[in-house]
Amino acid sequence: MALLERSQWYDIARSTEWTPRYVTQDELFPPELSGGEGLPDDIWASYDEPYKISYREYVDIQRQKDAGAYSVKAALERSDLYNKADPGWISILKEHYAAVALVEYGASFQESRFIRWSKAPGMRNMATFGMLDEIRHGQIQLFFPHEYVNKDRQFEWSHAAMWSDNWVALGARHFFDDVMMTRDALSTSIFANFSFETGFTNLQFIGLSGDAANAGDFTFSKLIQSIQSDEARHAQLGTPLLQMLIENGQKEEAQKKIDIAFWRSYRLFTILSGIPMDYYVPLEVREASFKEFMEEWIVTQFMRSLEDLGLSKPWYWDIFIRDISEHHHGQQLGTYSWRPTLWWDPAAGVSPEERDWLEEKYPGWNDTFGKVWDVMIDNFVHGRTEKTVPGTLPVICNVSQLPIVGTPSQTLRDISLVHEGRRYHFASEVDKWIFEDDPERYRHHKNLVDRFLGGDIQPADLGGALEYMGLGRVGPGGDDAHGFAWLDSYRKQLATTG
Amino acid sequence: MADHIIDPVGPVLQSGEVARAVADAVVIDNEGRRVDIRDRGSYVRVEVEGGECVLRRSTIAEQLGRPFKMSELELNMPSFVGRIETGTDVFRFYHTFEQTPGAGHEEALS
Ligand SMILES: [Fe+2]
Ligand SMILES: [Fe+2]
Repeated sequence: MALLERSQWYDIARSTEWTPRYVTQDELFPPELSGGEGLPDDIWASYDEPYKISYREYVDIQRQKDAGAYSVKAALERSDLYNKADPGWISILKEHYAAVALVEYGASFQESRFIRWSKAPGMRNMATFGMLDEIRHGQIQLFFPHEYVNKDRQFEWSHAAMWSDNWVALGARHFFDDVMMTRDALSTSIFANFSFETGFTNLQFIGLSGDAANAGDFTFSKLIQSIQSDEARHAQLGTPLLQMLIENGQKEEAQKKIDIAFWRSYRLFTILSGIPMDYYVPLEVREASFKEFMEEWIVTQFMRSLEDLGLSKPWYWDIFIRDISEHHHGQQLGTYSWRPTLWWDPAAGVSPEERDWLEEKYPGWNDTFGKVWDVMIDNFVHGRTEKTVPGTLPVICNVSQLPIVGTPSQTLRDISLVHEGRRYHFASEVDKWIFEDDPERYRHHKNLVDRFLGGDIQPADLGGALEYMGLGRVGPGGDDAHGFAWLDSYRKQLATTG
Repeated sequence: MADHIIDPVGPVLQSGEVARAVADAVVIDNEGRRVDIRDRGSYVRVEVEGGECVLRRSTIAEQLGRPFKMSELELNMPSFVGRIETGTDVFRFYHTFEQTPGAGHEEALS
């Protein structure tokens, strides 16, 4: 039987537009759910999705993708990666699965809302495949870590973290609720598909795949590239919408959506990708630094796609360029110091050889962040381990929900404002700008410290806070990934000089 | 990373047999334009200068020595540079340069 070429029937198949007779357009597509106010009614039928696929093709290709990923997993299951890989690598798996798997499931709801509420028939059609993609990403990233649960209880967080009030989960959930779950369909697509997916997910899902292969974890390497091949397709959903806005006098609105989503995505990825790439990946298998991956995927590739649409770099570009050499180093210091509050075992990543690498990739690192590590190392080698865990709470940003950090003695300063009687703290001028642009959206949320000081966390001490965050209850908390073995060379130095 | 080509576009591919065939096909299908193939370990960047990269099903099939469906490309393509057009026999990656003068985005990327 001869089959028609896709292009010969595609336009008819996706044309699902009709004129409602029993309800108004606004009842069928409420503006708060659909978005696109001010755009002409006849524009939606002209939405032309760039990346086309038929259902027949979709099923065929997705079956092959799954077969590829699952067969690599099955073939390598007996290779005992868990015991052979560097513990720093295992920590990356724990952090990744817990921060990502359930969020992918959430993304299937995002795509489902496009299927129902998007006013563009072509987008409703493509979002159907996007929804199926995200269900796959949720399921596969719950199934893959499951093989490790009987070896290491921290892997239980893969399923549990996003239901908990762990501080990292609070930050991630706040971000995804903001960009993916609580805006109209058009805005969500620009926030999530365009800014987050065509930009930042590449960093984790392709950038880290090279490190994974080098570390011998071919299962993870294959898995994340397989997932990203779905993203590359459905991430295209947002581009025609941006064109519509720009061509209809709403360029500024389009730019603002991107500016907000870009910054929020970036800051989250300093924790998700930045720390692992520069501190957890074993030194000998590192493909590139976080900064280099940022330059490849974001500064060059993503910015070019933005400019091709006639949009500009975000207004805070200079702040951003400085920040990619800085912020994640501060977050590494913070997360490592607060290691009992993590669901994974952080690697310090600051042996003498690793510090040489950091200094080479980030000139000046030893004189800034290195100095703080010097103090911590001094405490460790002199047996004052209790001094390496802070006794006070960090200040947490009321937008990113992450600790406020900076370069020691250079950029760490409090940026805050009072809104209707409550003081809000921000990790940067950009976070403050995001809050001020839409205080109604952000003002009610309480970050972990707000909850602590407000009496929501009882008893109001470290034990109570750990319990509240699920540590030791949902799953075990963190400690040094290498059992502090990296301190040996510093102990030897001390013995020879002292 | 010295000597970058101007305005590159094209697929980013998972390293392997298909990536090699696509890289060869890109050179053939875009004759006269500079092609930069950058091996990044687990992935390969195939980039054509000048804001357009054409990729034909028949050329990939020839390079692979077996039939090839364009939709199979997705199996091995976690990302791409530029916009995309996805036909049954041809994929095209391109830039349009819809830029309004003086908008401030023509300055070089740092
Ligand atoms: Fe996904
Ligand atoms: Fe996605």
